[in-house]
Amino acid sequence: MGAIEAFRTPDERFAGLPDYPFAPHWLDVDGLRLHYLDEGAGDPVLLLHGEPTWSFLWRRLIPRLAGRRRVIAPDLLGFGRSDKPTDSGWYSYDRHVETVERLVAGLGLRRLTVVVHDWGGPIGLRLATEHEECVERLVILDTGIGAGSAPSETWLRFAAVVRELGGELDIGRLVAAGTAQGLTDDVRAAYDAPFPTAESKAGALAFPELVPTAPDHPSAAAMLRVRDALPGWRKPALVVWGAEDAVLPAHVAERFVELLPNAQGPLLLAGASHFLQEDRPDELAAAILAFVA
Amino acid sequence: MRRWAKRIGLGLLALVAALTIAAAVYDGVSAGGVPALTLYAGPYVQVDGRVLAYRRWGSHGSPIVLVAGFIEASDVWRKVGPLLGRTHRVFALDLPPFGYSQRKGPYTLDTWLDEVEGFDRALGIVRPTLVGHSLGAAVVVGEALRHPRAVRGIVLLDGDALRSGGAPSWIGALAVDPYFTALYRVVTDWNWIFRRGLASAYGAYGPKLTSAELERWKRPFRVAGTAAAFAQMLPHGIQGYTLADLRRVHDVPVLVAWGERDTTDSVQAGRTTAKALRAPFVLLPRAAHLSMLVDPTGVARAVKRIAG
Repeated sequence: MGAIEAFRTPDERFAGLPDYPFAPHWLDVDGLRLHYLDEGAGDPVLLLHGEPTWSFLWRRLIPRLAGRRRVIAPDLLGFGRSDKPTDSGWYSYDRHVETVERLVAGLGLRRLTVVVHDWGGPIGLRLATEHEECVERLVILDTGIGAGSAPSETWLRFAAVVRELGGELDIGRLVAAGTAQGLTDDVRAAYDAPFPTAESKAGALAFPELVPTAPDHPSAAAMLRVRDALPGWRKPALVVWGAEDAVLPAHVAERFVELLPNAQGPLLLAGASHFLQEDRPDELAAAILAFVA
Repeated sequence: MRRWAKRIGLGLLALVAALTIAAAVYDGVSAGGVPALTLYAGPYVQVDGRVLAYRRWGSHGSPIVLVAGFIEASDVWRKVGPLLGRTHRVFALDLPPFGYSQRKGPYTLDTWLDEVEGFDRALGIVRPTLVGHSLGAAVVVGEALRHPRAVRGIVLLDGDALRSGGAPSWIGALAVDPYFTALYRVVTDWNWIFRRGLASAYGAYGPKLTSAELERWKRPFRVAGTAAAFAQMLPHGIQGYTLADLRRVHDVPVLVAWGERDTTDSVQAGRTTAKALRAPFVLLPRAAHLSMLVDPTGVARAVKRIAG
């Protein structure tokens, strides 16, 4: 198998980002460079971002969590400082899961608290259900687990916009649209930093296509298996949600609480939309710390 | 003290004192109590830095918000909620420091009004019918006074919405270290206290006071910070309005419903409040103070007269 064609965002794009002083760590995944943050000490907390963000999403939670725990926050391949295969067809649900499995195995992570957001949900929940020996707790934030249909009307509009814009997609604008409080210009620019060219956005463009909107979608069977395994996952879970999330409304949060026998919540955060890490970072960090204490 | 005792009855005064002490004991022996999440899984909503516990029933229809009273968790609506939920979106929230909401003061009527409004905003509840039980009656009257156009109507249930003086200061003092450790030895069986208080609040047609039923009422007292919250709240007494305030409620449909056997708040007090509000007065024949648990059908029917 030949080398995969991938884009590597120049390091200088990540210089001087607001509230992001963390040292980079790297893991080789079949010749691709995976970037992750590794801060603090103690039982590990794995933070899994989704579409179209990267570890920058967690920057305001990391210092607080790292005071009590080891915090690992990867950039999925195609995002952040990780390498970005330029062919959209390279990306799949299985590949993203496998990458995270490699990270967990590579670092020998055990007794994990896995915090999942957006696309991090299907990935992290699969990790939890298929590698129960590694995972002790789940924190579930504004995500969904495929039922073979679109998550909401708003999501369908979002997916249509992404498809139409293609390489012209404005990542920072997309993130800002998913907040209730808005983003400052420097934060918006930081979300854009990993994606300077059209080809660098292949991973972000692929994610909506990987959502199983029909029962015969390639991701559907695997995702349904994960969903069906959740009632058998008897360890503690906490569900926290942006009260104003229009893409994945609060009733999705209630569904997670129903599915998981030992779930607490949902804790709805007022004044928070889909990217609750931007809208209500302090409340979110406090809820996670209380849960893992 | 006499006015206060008259308002809630001497028996209840003893109950409140004992509960405050008991809460302090819980705080004392369990190093500050336990987070509400371990006692009540959810749902919760965090509004303006406060975590509020709530329950909900129903998925369509005009919204109804149920506000429980003194020491009541939203659990008291467990029978009425599903009945109203067939035709309405129904929400019940725990007013701090009761139920499983975070113990974060001040525990004043103004703050409770802010919390109800924040709760409505966070959950997208527009122009609700507000139902207040006992102390909650003052909260729903407060909303009708503050924002008459933002409520569809209000229902006062076993609560006259009137204020009375503060509790005697010794109650709060008892909750403060080092007394509670000594009192812990005195208050050895507070099941007795709950049994007595509940027997009176339920009346003759209430449920059997099994240990499970007592636990239901005792459980919220284990939430961290409960004793300190009660000590902070009790000097305010039973908060509410004056009859002159009630006469200022305009342009809001109002109904007052009352358990005919209520000895905590008298039927006469209910009639006086209904008259000041120019509201119809509905008697619920078998019910005492906890009418929503003894006659849920009657309470749901009364609420629907306002909520539609």
